[in-house]
Amino acid sequence: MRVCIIGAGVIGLSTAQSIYQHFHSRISPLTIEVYADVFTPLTTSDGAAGLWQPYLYDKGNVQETKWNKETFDYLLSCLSSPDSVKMGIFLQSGYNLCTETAPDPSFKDAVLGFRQLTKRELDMFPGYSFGWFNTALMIEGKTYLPWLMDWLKQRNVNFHQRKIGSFKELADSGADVIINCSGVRSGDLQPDPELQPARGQIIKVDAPWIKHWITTHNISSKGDSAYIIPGSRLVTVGGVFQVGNWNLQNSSVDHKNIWEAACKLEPSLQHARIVEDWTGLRPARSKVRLERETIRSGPTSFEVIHNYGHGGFGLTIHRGCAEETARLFGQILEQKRPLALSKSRL
Amino acid sequence: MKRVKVLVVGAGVVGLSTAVCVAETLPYCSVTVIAEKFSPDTTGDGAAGILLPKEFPDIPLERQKRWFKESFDHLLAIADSPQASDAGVYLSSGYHIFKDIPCDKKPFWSDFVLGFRYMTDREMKRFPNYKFGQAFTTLKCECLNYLPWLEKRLRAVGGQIIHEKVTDLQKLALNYDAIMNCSGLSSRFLLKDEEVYPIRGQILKVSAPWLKNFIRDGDGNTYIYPGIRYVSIGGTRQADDWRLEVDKEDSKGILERCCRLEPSLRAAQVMGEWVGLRPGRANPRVERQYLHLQGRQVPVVHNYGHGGCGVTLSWGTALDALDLLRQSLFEKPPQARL
Repeated sequence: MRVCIIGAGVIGLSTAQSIYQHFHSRISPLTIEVYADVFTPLTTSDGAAGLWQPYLYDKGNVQETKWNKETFDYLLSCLSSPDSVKMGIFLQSGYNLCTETAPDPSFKDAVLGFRQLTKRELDMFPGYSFGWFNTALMIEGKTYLPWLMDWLKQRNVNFHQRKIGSFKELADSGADVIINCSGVRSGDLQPDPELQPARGQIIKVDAPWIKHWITTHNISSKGDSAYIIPGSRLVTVGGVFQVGNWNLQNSSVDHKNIWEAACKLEPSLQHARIVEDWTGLRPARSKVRLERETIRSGPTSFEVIHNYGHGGFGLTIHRGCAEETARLFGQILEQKRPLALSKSRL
Repeated sequence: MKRVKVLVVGAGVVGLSTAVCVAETLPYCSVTVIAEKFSPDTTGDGAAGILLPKEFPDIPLERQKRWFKESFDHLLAIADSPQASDAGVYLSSGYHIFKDIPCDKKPFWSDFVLGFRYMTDREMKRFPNYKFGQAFTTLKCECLNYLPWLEKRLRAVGGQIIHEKVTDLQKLALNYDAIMNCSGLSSRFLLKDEEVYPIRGQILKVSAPWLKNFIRDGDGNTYIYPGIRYVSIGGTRQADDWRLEVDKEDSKGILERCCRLEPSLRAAQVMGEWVGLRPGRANPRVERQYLHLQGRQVPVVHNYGHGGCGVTLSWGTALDALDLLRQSLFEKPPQARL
């Protein structure tokens, strides 16, 4: 059984991990290969601050809320393992600030110690009249992705640096199942009008006295919302959310706006040393595309599992989606099994 | 009005806070700080600087509340300003955990810190040997930054600094109109106050920048305080122990206990060790005395004996000391002012 995964961001790598974990002892041989044109530290996952936090409301996508929580619980269990630092996982508390009273967010039961902000706390943030405090997890892509790659390499997963032109290309080369984790550029493989880039720009800053994350929500006006998220080394300051903008260059106008908003939120930033800017494209979609597709190619057909469109919550939801993808892969196996008995697949 | 010459003995967090309080509030006072030790060699410089009071047996609770509230509010305003990074003052959230349920689940200071609540069952799961916990946000005030920042504030309003060890208060009183005694543990020698005794504390400075929340065992002997440059892990509380040298057995014990609370510390590098002597006393002494010499009455305002709560109560006790000074200047004007 040859599985080819397209994409080496957090989604592609964690999907490879879940497939290995569930099936390496059940199928022999199981060859897992990852194809990507971009690897850590240059993927979208690498630039993200790494705060586990879904969007405030799931708009009825209860599956996504379930996958988010599954990811949180999984990461929480990894905290006590000796690998936690090598995985880039740690706890951090912080503030979700709203410009007006809002219903409880979808993640209130997943995080630790969720509560409303007191008046004295809100007094620290002029312009915000409501909000929540909780302890969440951080997963830093720049550490997590190399850890995942090491984990996979130790288990003989092969990596190929090249851009895949089409699913057919891989199918023709002998792939039994293709898993599409190509993120924002999935459209190159199969047009998807629901998938759009949501451009984000961040500023990395040296401010080691800041020990809480702060994210803001302008309930009535959608779009750009300032956030300050300390990492293990630097603080990530953002954010903009520009739908339809494919520009990977840093914009000085965005930099100025982001910086001004952040300094208003956290006055102590004014004396912080700015290290660098970075731009990434969130793979935004109305909802995550996580489903099977059978593609006909002449007389034959091949199986594709799509796992893309995780917007700004890829790290937040990755494990839940990887496990679900493994489940769909299991379904494919069940269907192929009768054939496996009659045909040698070695 | 002729200038009132005030001498502040001690340049630790209590001395400098007191000096700044007086110098900024009473324009007719000229303030001089005299001390042997300055930052980075004061007791406060090695302390983690987490604002967390304890209850003293003989001081009215209202006064203790005022001491803490005023210190907290003063530092919160700094944390919320562009000065925060210079001053080394910032918010710190974390967990205060207890192996046995304490009698006082909601201590007197719970209203003054931010967001005080009991820990949830899920949060307690991380600490299987502990039965109860409090979660809140307090402040961390690092003397390595704060003391030089206070010194700048003092100099900005004309304050003076003298680097010299004080051995004779009577002699100094000849040249000043009032003395503020903030000499910490040294009060034992300077005033022969036998009630002051050292409480030795050792910490390890550890590089673990992924740690953001503090964890403190309610017994006060095990704690993890993430700071600007490193994480301070500790500790010890050894009464009447004057040793300033690092004790390797203490280091071992600290590492073991802290790694049990926070397993990721096993991946952390130890950057150094430090020992400090807390100026222990049953209660901090914040009161006024008079020295009678050569026909003059020189007020001496004492502000020492804060134990492990120096940073925690520095501003509140400084304000109290300021009040005592103000009272004495108007009640019994020293001869020098006539």
